[in-house]
Parts: sequence; structure tokens; C-alpha cells
Amino acid sequence: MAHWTERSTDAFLYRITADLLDQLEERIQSKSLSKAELAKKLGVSKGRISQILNNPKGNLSLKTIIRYARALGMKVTIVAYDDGDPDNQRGPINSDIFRACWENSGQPADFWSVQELQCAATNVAMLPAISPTQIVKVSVVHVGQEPLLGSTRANRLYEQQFAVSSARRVPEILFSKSAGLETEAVTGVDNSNLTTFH
Amino acid sequence: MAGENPYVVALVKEQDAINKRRGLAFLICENDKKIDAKSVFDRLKLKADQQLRTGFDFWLTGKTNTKRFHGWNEAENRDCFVFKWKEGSQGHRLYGFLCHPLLEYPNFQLCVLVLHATKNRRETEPRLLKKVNDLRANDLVRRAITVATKDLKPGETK
Repeated sequence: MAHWTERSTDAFLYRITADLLDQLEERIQSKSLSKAELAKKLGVSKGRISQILNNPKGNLSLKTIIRYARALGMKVTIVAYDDGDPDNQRGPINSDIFRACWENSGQPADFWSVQELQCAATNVAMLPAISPTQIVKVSVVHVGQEPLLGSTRANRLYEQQFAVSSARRVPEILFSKSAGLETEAVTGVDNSNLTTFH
Repeated sequence: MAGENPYVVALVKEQDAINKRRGLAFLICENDKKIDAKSVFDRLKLKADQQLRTGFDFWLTGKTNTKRFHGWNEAENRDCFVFKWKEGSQGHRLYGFLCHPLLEYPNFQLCVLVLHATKNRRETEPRLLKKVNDLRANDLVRRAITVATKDLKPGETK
């Protein structure tokens, strides 16, 4: 059965607006800001602030959302995501979860920081500096499957050669696709056999 | 029929309302008109329905939000729980209780919603929580919860 937000676009909009307004309200409380002070900053009445926070109509414009967030010293971003739930059986992911993950990850602000975090999280080994045309031999062990496959077979399966991009990181997705299994970790990197690809 | 349990617990199975950690249910009893959470919920207008379901979503996913729901700290009411919404300036409440009905899944928490009340003052009327507590301790209600949850495998139900 689909989540209630699948009933209409308005229902979905209501739900994500409620998420966002709760964040703004928490910010108001954490800054000990009165609604009157916020109203003054925004040039609206206190009643309007209460109306927005307590009674979202679901048609709050992005412009209004940004004005309120900026008045509270916050920024707004819009994220489209695929959570593997195309029929919306589970409803939207709460925006606080995205925010908490971002904050807990040290608030990365560029894509290099994100790549480093991904490597750290999956224990993916960093490769030494190489040119984009070099081939690197990499040993990968699929930790989750190892007891079933046996370490010898696991190593044979995952010990493969790949051209590594100038991003200098093991493209773990290639390993997964090549082996037909999901790679959970890279446990060893053999870079003694660096060769130049012609 | 003699011995028939007047209480029924209806699990809310829609909208992923039962996940591996939490689930929602309504207590139903045709002989007790005060047990009206389910009938009130079924008749909610769109706006109120969306407010309440948003609160359900938040609670089910572990978010804290006292504007939409909360429990009580006092020992005698520690298992009581309330979901809140507003229609105009009128505050509404669905009172219920929390329990852990599954031995095999001891972390799974079920919120059984019992009764509806309107509320405009800060303090909750003690008689409402007493009613909830009495029902929570009622053997027939407990049996109804057991019947409703006997095949439940939290996290696997859709």
C-alpha cells in the first residue's frame, strides 16, 4: 500500500513543507528568537509568522522559504533522491536525516571532501599518484561473501586489472559490476605492478 | 457470546506504519464510546489528516517533535503517549499508550491509540491518562494486542 503522500502532489508537498517548517521552528527556539523579532526582520506581522509555522497551506513558495531561512541565518537546498521506493510505499525521507548526515560528515562543501568521505566509509584504499593511462593491479576481497566463496576463490574473483582514472581512487563500482556482486571493501592494493597503458 | 473479547486492536498497516522499530495501532471497543481514536481518525478532514499523519511519520522514523507528539516523564504515566494536531485554534489530541508486545522483537514498540480529546489548556486532564492507563493494564486489552500482533514480523510488514 502506498504512503499517504502518494495520494496527491499536494499531500507530498504538505509533508515536505512540514519537515522544513519544523526545522525553521527548531532554529527559532535554538536561537531564542521571538516570533516578533523574526517578524520584524522579515517585515511581516507576528500573526503571519505563526500562520506559516503552525498552519502550512502547502503552497508556500520557494521564495518565501528562502526568505525565512535566510532571516534565521540558514540556507536552503533542494535534493531529489532515489531511495529505491518508486511507488512511494515508505514516504519521503525526513529532511532532518539528510541534514544530520551532512552535519555528521563534517559538513562537506565540495566534491573532493565527499569522495574522501566515501573512501573512508567503505575502507576503499587510496591509490598512489598515477597517470590516467596507467593500469593498476588491485586486490579486492568481498568481505561479506568470503566465508562462502573461500578466500582463494574470492581473491581470484576480485584480483583484476582496471584502468584507474585520474581521480586516483579505486573505482569500486567497476569491481562490483565485473564480479556480479557488491563489493563491500577493498582490503589490499598491490601497486607493485604499475604499468603504462599504451 | 460469553468470553468474547470486546476489545480489538487494529494495526495501521498503511504508509509503512509498522517498521522494524515502531508501529501504530488503534484500540477499538464497540461497548465503550470513549474509546474513539479510530473513529475520529477515520473522519478527519484533509488538513487535520495530513497534520496527524505527518506526526505519525515523524514518530515512526524516530524524530523528536514535542509539537506533534510526546510522552510523560512521571512514573505513573510513563507509558502514555499523545499525538497532537490543530484545527483552527482548536487543539486536538489522540491519547494512547506504548508497549513492547513482541518477545522475539523486544525493541519493537507499538503505540496503541485509544481516545480523542479537544484541548486548549496546557495541562492534560488526569482522567484521560487514567483511562488510558486502566486500559493498558486491562488483561482483555493485552490479549487483543497479542492477537493483533501474533503474526507480526517488524520490518517485514508492508
